[in-house]
Amino acid sequence: MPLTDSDNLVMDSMINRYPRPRSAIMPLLHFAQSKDGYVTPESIEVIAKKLNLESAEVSAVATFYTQYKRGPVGEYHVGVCTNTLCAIMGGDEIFESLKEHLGVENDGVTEDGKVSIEHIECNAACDYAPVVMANWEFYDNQSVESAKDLVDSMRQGNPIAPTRGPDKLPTWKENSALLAGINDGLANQGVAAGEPTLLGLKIAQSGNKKLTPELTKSYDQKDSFTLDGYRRNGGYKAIEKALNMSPDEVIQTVKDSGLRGRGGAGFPTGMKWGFIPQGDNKEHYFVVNADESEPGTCKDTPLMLANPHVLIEGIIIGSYAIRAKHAFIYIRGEVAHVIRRVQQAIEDAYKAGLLGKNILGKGFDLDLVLHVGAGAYICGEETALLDSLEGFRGQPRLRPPFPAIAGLYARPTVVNNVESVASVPAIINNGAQWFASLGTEKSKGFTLYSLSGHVKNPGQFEAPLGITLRELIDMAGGMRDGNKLKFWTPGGSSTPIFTDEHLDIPLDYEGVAAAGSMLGTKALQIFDETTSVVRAVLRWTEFYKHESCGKCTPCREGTWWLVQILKDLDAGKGEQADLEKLLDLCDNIAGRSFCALADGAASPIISSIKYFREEYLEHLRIGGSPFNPAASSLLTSDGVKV
Amino acid sequence: MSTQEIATETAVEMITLTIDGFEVSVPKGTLVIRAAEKLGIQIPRFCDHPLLDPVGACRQCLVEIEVNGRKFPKPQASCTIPVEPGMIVNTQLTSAVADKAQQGVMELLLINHPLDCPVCDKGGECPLQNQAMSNGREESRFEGTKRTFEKPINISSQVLLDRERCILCARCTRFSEQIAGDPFITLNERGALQQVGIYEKEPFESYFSGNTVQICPVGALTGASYRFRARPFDLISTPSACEHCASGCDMRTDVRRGKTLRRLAGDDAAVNEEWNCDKGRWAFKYVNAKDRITTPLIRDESGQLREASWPEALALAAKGLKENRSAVLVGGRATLEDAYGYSKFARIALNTNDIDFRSRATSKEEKNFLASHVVGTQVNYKDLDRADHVLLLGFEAEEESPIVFLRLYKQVKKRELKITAVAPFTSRGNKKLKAELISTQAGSEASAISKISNLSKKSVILIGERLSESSGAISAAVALATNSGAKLAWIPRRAGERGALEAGALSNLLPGARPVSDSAARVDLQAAWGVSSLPSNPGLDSDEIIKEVEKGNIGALLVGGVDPLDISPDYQAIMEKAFIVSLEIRQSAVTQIADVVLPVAAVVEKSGTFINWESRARFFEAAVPESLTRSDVRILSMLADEMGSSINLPTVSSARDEFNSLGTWHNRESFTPVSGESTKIANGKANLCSWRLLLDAGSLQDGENNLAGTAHPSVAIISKSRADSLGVTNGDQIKISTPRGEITLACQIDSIDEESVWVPRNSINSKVIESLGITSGEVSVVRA
Ligand SMILES: Cc1cc2nc3c(=O)[nH]c(=O)nc-3n(C[C@H](O)[C@H](O)[C@H](O)COP(=O)(O)O)c2cc1C
Ligand code: SF4
Ligand code: SF4
Ligand code: SF4
Ligand code: FES
Ligand code: FES
Repeated sequence: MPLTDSDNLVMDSMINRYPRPRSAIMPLLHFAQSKDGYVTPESIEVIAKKLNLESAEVSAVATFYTQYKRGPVGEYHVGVCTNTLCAIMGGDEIFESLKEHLGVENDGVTEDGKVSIEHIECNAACDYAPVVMANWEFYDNQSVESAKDLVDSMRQGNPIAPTRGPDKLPTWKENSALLAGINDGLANQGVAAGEPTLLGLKIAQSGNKKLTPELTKSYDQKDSFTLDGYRRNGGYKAIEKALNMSPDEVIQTVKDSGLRGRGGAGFPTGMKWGFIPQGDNKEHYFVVNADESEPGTCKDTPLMLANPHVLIEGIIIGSYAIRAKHAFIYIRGEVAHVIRRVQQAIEDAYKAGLLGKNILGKGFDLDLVLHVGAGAYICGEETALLDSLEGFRGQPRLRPPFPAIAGLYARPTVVNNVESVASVPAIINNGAQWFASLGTEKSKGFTLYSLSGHVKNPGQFEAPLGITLRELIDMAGGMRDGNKLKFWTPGGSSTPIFTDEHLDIPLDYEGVAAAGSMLGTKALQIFDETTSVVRAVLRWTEFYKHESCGKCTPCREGTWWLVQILKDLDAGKGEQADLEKLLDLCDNIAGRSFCALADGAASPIISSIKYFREEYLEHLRIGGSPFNPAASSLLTSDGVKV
Repeated sequence: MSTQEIATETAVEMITLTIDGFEVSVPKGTLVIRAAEKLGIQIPRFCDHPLLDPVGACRQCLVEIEVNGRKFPKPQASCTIPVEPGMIVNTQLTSAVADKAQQGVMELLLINHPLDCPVCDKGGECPLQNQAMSNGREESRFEGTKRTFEKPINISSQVLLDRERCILCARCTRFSEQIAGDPFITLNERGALQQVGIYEKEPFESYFSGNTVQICPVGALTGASYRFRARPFDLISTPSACEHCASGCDMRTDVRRGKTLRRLAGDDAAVNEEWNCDKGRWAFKYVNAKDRITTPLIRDESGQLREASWPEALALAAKGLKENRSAVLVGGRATLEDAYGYSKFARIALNTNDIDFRSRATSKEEKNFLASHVVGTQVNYKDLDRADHVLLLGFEAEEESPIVFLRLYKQVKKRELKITAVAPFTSRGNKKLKAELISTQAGSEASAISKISNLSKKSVILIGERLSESSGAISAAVALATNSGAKLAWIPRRAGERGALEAGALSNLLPGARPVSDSAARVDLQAAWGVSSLPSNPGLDSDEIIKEVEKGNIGALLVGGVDPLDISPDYQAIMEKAFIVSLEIRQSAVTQIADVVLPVAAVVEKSGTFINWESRARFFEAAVPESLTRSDVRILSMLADEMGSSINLPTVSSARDEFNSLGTWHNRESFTPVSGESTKIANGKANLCSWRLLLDAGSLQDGENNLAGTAHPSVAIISKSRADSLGVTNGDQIKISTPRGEITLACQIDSIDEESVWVPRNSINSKVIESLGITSGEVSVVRA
């Protein structure tokens, strides 16, 4: 990476974004890719020098994340989602046919250097399945045909525009610069939201009282993501109110509202804020978890695309409450247009005096930095996220100390999910009581439910906690083709699966837990009777193997082994005893590992054997899968979408 | 803090808990795994290491824990959980859950392990092998495909990595980062592909890399020199002490059939903890070098050295020493017992105080300082642990006393201990210590030191042997210590210097800190030694001794382990005029000119004591007891007998006992400060500064090619402005010269004092004393 003077200035400005230089390692690596297309040894050395690190430390970080490439990729890098849901709905067919069409293998580049291709994990767009990404821009609802057209257009030098993104597809290097935090000014292009994102809102607008659009209420306005748009819908009123309250009053209000974390664990948000020691003369940090990578989860991403300012407003309030002067949004790196929108929103908020020094003249200072990840599901785990944000490999930390005591840079830190934070302005505006009056006894308020898979109309539904899947499927137009529901995840792939027995369980923290699973991220992935549960579970297991951070033995080695056993079972190889071995292995992995990722890896296996043991045995009996993958796909035999 | 550390702090709170039904009380903060050890309950573990921060990564140490009647829902990693009052712990011995969890983890650890124990260096002493036997399932249920990697790869010239055997416990990477500050090996990739590695272009060249080989719980990291050389059960292990520097590492020497095959760091919490440096670990082949001397040699009429019998050689040596005015030069590598032998021999057999252990650049100021402020005093590692500020004067900790460096680094990491260095630039080691630099030219240290005012009683001033090269600098340091109350410690490089000082192998000192000038002290020693008189006139320093040889006033020299090139390129030629009796282990510049050469034992072949910089005795037994060579003191005793004036030290232990019985004298010589001058360098010239690197051309490292492969390359460090004026950039060759000779090296631009140029003192292509004839002062620097 030969550096010009201006490159040096840009790199220095990246370093200056952070309280500690090492944190800049990720943007610097993205920047290196914007220069060379991939991370060259020279750029490792340049970055090491800039940050006063050993080259080994930089390459240790670079090799952890999948978005940092070791060799050249195409001018257009295509990622086909083959995580369970997309794969089943047609992603596998798309990936296979693209490889054949381009004459390359996974991770291959066409000879003309135009197109490269890889299969990717869930890209937080499951309600648009099957999903294809190009240079991390969304191509929703793809078919074999449309994907071929897309790569053909790339090779002709005139790529088809993304579905939810800028008017023209930027190149790999251009988008790498975006990921490094260099605003390309394209944030205002493209739609605010696609149809699935708007589904719940439209149903509510047509008079359905079960839904309560609050975060999603303005999604259908063309400029909902702009500062003006947000203001027009009553935005940035809550901070005026909050900054007139004492920080402790703000915390109390959030406590009273009963808001619980929407990132998966459901920990009460106000209580978390209350744990931050006060008067300790240390810096405090407020960190937003926008890593959204749990398979099936696709709520925060459309929210930031359509309504980034509500998140910023929530951040200002939360930071004020915990007395933080620095806040960060850690966003996954595979969602370019969302990154653009959030970056622009932050810049606009600074210009409007909503961030920076002396906000609204109230003497409160806050700096907000968007930190872009680089492809690692584990970085959604809050302590791994903090290590990643500090410029280390994203591996979970030992707890205690908990982030509230020693988080970012060993300072008291709150880590909250996007939706949790974004829910705060409405609570401040309308009062804790208003929020608490929605939902169920211990699961208060409204939340985002994401329906994906074999329903007629997948999409986002904002409803009070406690709604049932039966009600939601109803709103989604029922199962596709009138098929029968077979199994579903209540909150992402890490939550034990349910079946059609569970259609009437109230989808709140207690209801789901009582039935043996977890509400998680409310990512409802729906699979009908055409789907092989073994195939689904194998694919999820491959995901966990791919995303295991490698730190601890049971998860690192266990996922390696589980995949091998499941592959055999899916192919009808093995014997009944293998099921017991599988369960025993899960017992040796779940609850024995360092973090919850491994528990998540065991969940689909244990729960699927619990409900579908017969189906596993059937595979063994007939020496293969009794299912026809084409039947569960949305694509016809010609690869066209039906 | 480790348990040991916690336990040694006074008044610690004790916590009582129950493990497998037994009560045990341990200091607050102790981890469950170590509380269990106290009861003799061994919980299996891999990533745990008492001196590294807990990670809880391998999950081998899972146990069940209950606190306040509430059981943790999942088994917990006992290496990460501190004890709590009333805690109830059930290990694999009493909990089926813990036992199954451990067996499960073990099974998973083994699925990707090659199980090539029969050809593995660790076989027989492998924690994985052992714990798989004690805590694993009998049979693996894994029938799948194992992960494969290219078999061992060299991550440096001395360390090999076998990634298939690695169990990713991260001990090595944590050691490198947390203890050595050299994160050259890291964990790379992730998930099942995670692997230890280096950055492709930068090998694992840490001075401490050998520790990773030692703490690797499997045979993934191996030393190139030991690979496939032996099986642990063939080895005889002896505790020993390191002879390479004054840090004072406790060591273990493993011998097979009389040959040292490897050396390991010993465990001494007060000194080296469980670490050592690569020189101490891997430089031992000199003992078996081809030029090892095994029989006495005498110079015949033709001027050739020939083998001789002991009686013949001793007789000739005795005659030469008796017939001439004789003096003694003892190198800095003698053990306390041997140095005591030389000291006593000089006074009794030669009736002289002309003895000096400092075979290096020295000064009278230093001698005075050693006798007044160092001998008989103690400052120790603990003082560094507690210091509020440590000042480094003429001392590069990482290069010149690696364990002192590790201790400082530990405190810098742990509590940002403030370090200040007076030096011409910030070396790599001092960068790691985040040392503040008082940029100073060689020769101008005195004035720099006299300006320091921010020390307190809790501060420690560390003076390296090189400070003697700068006139007035030691005096300034003494004044600073007196005014601030800071502790003052002297850290020589060589392992024997401090012991030789205590033994009185110096012209102004008798054994046990007795000043030569103190008549009561002399009388006291006369009584102890049973002699009627001792020489009372102050003796000569090494430089003066050589001058007197040149003038013909001194006619014979008794020389033990000295390289004249450490002092001056001229000395060998001058010394040749004298009758020389050389006690040596290998052929050297002195044996070349000696009249009688008497072979002596190397460290592994003898017992003895080194006194480290702290003044701590490091006693060791012979690791190769069957060796026929003898320690210097025994030979000196025979020689004295031959001369008819017995020193009566027939064995090493008799020397040690006698020395110990002398005690430490209460009075010290007074200190007379010397005023400093500042360096004046003619226009256009440069001021040379240099020090020895840990791994260099030192003779005890001879034959260790793997070790030498990790030495820092020889470069000359110059400032940017000098580079500009010479028209050179990094890597260009420059020539440094004095009227005496020249050195040509690649240059490296650094923020060094503008007038200075730094070169390594004794490295490949950079033998400063030999080539330039000086250690500091004016040199010319031109583009080569
Ligand atoms: C493997 C793993 C992945 C996670 N991914 C995310 C994520 O992408 N987004 C998120 O908000 N929380 C994620 N979490 C949960 C976070 O650790 C944390 O609980 C959450 O961010 C806290 O925010 P909340 O209290 O607002 O829910 C993940 C946890 C695990 C174990
Ligand atoms: S369970 Fe262990 S290996 Fe898996 S992601 Fe967590 S820390 Fe990493
Ligand atoms: S090389 Fe050895 S010490 Fe390092 S991680 Fe592997 S097993 Fe552990
Ligand atoms: S630090 Fe010194 S004493 Fe310790 S092993 Fe190294 S050379 Fe020997
Ligand atoms: S976007 Fe493909 S599974 Fe979620
Ligand atoms: S020894 Fe406890 S987790 Fe490794």
